[in-house]
This record gives sequence, structure tokens and C-alpha cells, in this order.
Amino acid sequence: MTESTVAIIGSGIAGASVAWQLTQMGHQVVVFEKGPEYPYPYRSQFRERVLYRYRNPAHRLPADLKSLTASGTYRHDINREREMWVGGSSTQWNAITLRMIPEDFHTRTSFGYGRDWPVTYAELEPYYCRGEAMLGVAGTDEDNHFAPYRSMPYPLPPFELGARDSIFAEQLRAHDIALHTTPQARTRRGYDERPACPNFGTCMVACPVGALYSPAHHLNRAVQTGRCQVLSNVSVRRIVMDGHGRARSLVYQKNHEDAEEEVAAEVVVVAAGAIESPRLLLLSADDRHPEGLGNEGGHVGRHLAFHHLWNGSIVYREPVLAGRIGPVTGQSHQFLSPPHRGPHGGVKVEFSANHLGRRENLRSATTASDALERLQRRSRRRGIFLHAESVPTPQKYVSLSRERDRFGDRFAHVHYESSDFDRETHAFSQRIYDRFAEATGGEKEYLAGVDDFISGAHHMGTCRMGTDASDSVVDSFARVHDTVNLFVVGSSSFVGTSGAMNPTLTLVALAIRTADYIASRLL
Amino acid sequence: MRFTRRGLVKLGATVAVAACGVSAAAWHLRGWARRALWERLPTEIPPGELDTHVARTLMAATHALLDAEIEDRHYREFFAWHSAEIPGYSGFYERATTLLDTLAQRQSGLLFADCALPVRRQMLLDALAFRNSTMRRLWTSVVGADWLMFDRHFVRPLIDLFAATDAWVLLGYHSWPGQPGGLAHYRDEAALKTDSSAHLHAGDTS
Repeated sequence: MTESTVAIIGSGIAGASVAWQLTQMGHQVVVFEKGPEYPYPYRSQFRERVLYRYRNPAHRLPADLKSLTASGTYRHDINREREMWVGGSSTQWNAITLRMIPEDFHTRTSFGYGRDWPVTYAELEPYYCRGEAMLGVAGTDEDNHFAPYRSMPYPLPPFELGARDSIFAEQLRAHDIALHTTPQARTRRGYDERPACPNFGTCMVACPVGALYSPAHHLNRAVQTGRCQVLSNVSVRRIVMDGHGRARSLVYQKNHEDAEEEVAAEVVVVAAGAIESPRLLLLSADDRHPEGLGNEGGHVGRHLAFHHLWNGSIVYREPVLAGRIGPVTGQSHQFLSPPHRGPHGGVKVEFSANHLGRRENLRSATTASDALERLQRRSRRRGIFLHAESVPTPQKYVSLSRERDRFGDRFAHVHYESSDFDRETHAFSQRIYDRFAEATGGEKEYLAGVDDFISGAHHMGTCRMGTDASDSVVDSFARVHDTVNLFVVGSSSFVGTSGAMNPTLTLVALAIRTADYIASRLL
Repeated sequence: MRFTRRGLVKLGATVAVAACGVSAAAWHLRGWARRALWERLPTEIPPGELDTHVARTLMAATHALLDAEIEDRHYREFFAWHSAEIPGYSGFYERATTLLDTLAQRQSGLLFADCALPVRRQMLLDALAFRNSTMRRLWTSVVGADWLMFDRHFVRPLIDLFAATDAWVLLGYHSWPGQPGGLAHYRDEAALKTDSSAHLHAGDTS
């Protein structure tokens, strides 16, 4: 059995944040990543994906390593929403990095639904500042009267509204709707050894220069300190506990080898996302924890919530060209906490120049003229995303599947059914959509139905935080209840959703807080 | 041999059920059959550099189908990279060239790349007319299967690449995703006044 100090399972943005913070404080970490290497900056991926329209199979895990089963009403492929390679899902993302608003931390008390978090906005605020500094967030609150209090300015200036956005903003303002800039983890100017964004506009595929934040930026630098090792193509199969509530070691297996190996650790941090993290706790069941680690109260895998992103589009008589495609621009935070919040949730509106609405079917196009005829609407269309919060119910959970991976371990099973709360939130979103179309003089083209939402890969809440094991899995520092040194970081620890806000900045802030806790109390 | 009425009904029902079963199986397997029989790239031929004549012919076909202002460079690089890196493309591009030259020589006595653009264009539109009809597609799979492969591995990727690149500019955008567009232009009101039809033309670009 080999030894490491802090073992981190998962190299995505949560694991990378913990690894970076701890190595900065002089501690040794080993990061275990199930997926392959994904070389950063993403120049080769950019060439392959953008210029040659090619998906390199070397970056893909086979189905006997990356899979899940699903049931319920969610219509999209959850497995495809997860990237498993070094850096995880935040290697290709929209990089919208928003703080939750203070009310989101106490929805039970204030609105009668969900559950209050065991941490407040005020407690988390300094960590939000550190998270923004780490990711290099470009933004301003000057045009956003709905932004929560902050103690530090954004590290980078904002990406301004585009010319067409500004016209829309005027029209919306005349109808009492705010449209403002979007805080995002892109370099409005050079920052922290990352170049200024040249606006390639391919953030959701690959940024070739590192202007878009990737966890690999800090993972690579952590490795350069000599205190961090990243092991790719390695599956952690279970966590081994001793009889005193301590995680003693990890059992892992290299993806292409037959034998298991075991590594001792002083601290174990599970950072594998809201589907794989509970799966690992369940797979780690032993004589003392027959239902899985941290599952004394039966909460592991429960309280799953997605964001519900209803995609829509509005068509205009004249072209509404953004002039470019690329970084996200206009948003409205006006509907995050409306006066009648309670029967339904809050909604964030993305009315951004880089949203195009429905995708055109080009399959039958033979010539450029055919294709352009189908694409013509693109120039007169603006996409709109109604980005809504949801709440956990007993019909939203992660458990173990009957199907097994190549090692014989059960895959995760995800069950997700929309609730009455979600239907009410959809009705609220429909009203917002109508108002945007009317205010901007557009024709309503399409809005996704209640069950045709996408999650935005925002999977949350399966190892939720709380005060004790009877109501939750981890405490407010993400430590598994009744253990000494086992932590679960990432959106898995959320108490349901992060309101209607994109979860990444919040999970980074929480991960930094956890790293501080580990360093000060355990190392 | 005589059939009773009941026997005939039974036979008819059996034939109908069998036909339904075969149809369902064929429908279910059509994607597999298409990939395995007609669209399978000749992966036994190793990747390699594009021959000059092949490259010229592919670009001639590109101009024939993309009847708009395009940047040649990314199409040229697309073909060269696939030929050099991905097993099957080198052989496929050679077969496609032979297919196009055979068609052109039969119709005009010239190599495909030597034909005038309108001639090339009409030849391709005629050859690809099966794309809009299931019956013609079926017939093509019997008498001209190489065209199915040409459709799958040349026409569709070409349209896809066009839609992801030049189409953006033709629709009035400053650049296409993948070009460093900078952060000044999108805030410029003049960008809103672009006439998206100005770039379309039907002239010879070869």
C-alpha cells in the first residue's frame, strides 16, 4: 500500500480547487481521475473539434467505464452531460459564474419550500471573492440592481453588452425589465498567466488559448509545485474506513489492469459530481456501514435537483445580428426572487447574443443555397433560456443500477420526475418569455415544454449538507457526518439547487472553504 | 394441391405477419446495414497525404456544391487532415475522385476538375438527386452504392463545415466561431447594418 496525504477523487473544478488551495498551503495531494488526459491549453482539441469536426476517441471513456441508467420524465441523456477526463465538465462550458442570492440560502424559512442551508450568504461571501479571483471572473454589478452585496470588486472588467443587446435592453427597460451584463470566468484582459480573450467563440467546444477558465489551469500549476500528482485512467472503487470514523485508504484500479491497488490517505475528498460521488459512497458499504458511507440517515443519493433550462426563441422582422458569436452577454436577474416566490421557483433569464434558439436541420441540404435557406432564420432569431430553480422531491434521486462496469461495480441509476413546483415554475417562465417577446417586438417562435428542459449539466444535491446525519450527509464544511477525514465537495453537497443561479462559483467557494478547514484542522 | 378458404386465410396472414416482421427488422437494421454495406470507409488503406489530383478534384466538387463566397483554406485543410490522420479517408477520397472523373468523362469527356463550374454543379445535383427520395435512395444502393458513400462522407461533412464557418459570414456575422473575432466589433452598431444577402452570388468561383 502506497501513501498520500490528501487523496482527491475527481479532477473537475471542485477537486482542482481543493488541490490548488492545499498545494498553495504546502500540502501534498494526489488527484484520481477516471478519465484520460486532456491536454491543456486545448489547441489540439480546438483543431480537431472546430476545424476538422472530429471527436477524438482517445478522449472518450468506453461505455463499460462511463455509463448510467435512468428513469423518470427527464428526456435527455444524462450520461452525455458529464465529461470524464482531466479537468472534468468545466473544460468546455459557458463559464457563467454567479453568486447565489442571500434568499436562496433560506428558502424554507422565507418561502416555505426546500430546505435552509447550514451556511449563510454572509459566511460564504469572502469565499465567493476568493473563487472569483481564482477563476478570473469578469463582471460588474453597476448595471445589475439585483446583484447581492460584495466586499471586493470583480477581478476583471465586464464583457459589455453588444450593440443589439443594448437596443434590446432599452426596449426591455421601457417595459420594466432589466437586462444587464453577465459575470463570467473569461479574461476580459490578460489575467493570471492567461491571455485576454480573443473571442474565438468556441467556449462550449474548446478554447485554444486558455482565456476561458479551465480547472486544468490550476491543476497544471499545482503539479508544477511538486506537491500534486494527477493520476488519470484510474477508477476509485471504494473508500476503506477504520473502526474510528476515519477514512483509511482508497481501493483503486487502473482502467486497463486486472489488479486492484490500495493507497492510504490522511484525508479523502470525494469530488466526482452529484452522480458519481453518491455512487462511490454507496459502493463503499462495509460491515459497519451496510447502506454505504454517510448513509446512516438514508440521504445519500436523495435530494437530487437539476436546474430546469427551458430553451426558447423569438423571431424578429429585421436581422438581430449580434455581430459575433462568443462570450455570453445579456441576462436578467430580475426574476430570481419574485414577490410570489413559493408556489414556484425563481428564474434567471439568459437573453444573450450567443444563444441562437432552435438548431436548424441541414441533413437534406445539398448546396450552400439549401443550407443558407435553412439558416436564414438564424439572423432574425434570438434564443432565450429560462434558467429555473427546482426543488428535491422523493422522485428525484440517484441509486445504484443493476448494470455494472468493467470491474463489476454497479453503475449509478438516476430517477428524475418533474413536480408540481416545476410545472408552476414553467408557467412562470412562460409568462416571462411572453413579456420578453412583447417588449422587444418579436414573434414567439418556440418555448420548450415543461418536461423538455435540459439540466445544463447542473446536477446537485445528492450528498446534501446539513446539521446532522439524520437530515443530511455532510456538514457545512462538506465533511461526512460522524467521520473525521472524509469530505464530499462539489454541487453534490448543495441543499437542493443553487436557486436559479449557475452552480459553479458557489461550489468553488465551498470547496475553498473546505480546503481551509482541512488545512487548519486536519493537516 | 387445393387450398381451403381457411388455409388461404392462414397463409395470407402468415405472409403478412412475416412481411411485417421483415420490414420491421429491415427498418431497425437499416442504419447498421447502411454503415456496414454502403458507407463503410476503406479503412484497410492507411492514412496518407492527399494526391494533387485528388485534392484538386475535391475542391472542384466543393465549389460546385457551395455556390457562395467561401474561404477555400479550411476545406482544403479539412480534406488534407482527414486523409493524413483518419483511417479510411485517404482511400475514400481516391474512390470519390475516380467516381467523379468517371461521371465527368462519360458526360463530357473531361476530368471532373476540368469541367466548367455549371457543368460540375449540374452533374453533382443529378447524381445526388436520390437524397430527396427514399425509393431513389434504395435504387441507388443497388446500382450506384458509391454515391451513398460520397453523400455520407463528402456532402454531409461539407455542408456541416460550411454551416459552421462561411455560413456565419454570409448571414452577416463578422467572423465564424473558431476565428479570433476580437471584442470590439460586436459592440459596434455598424455591424448591425450588414446586408446578409450581399455575399450570395451564383457566379463561377473556380
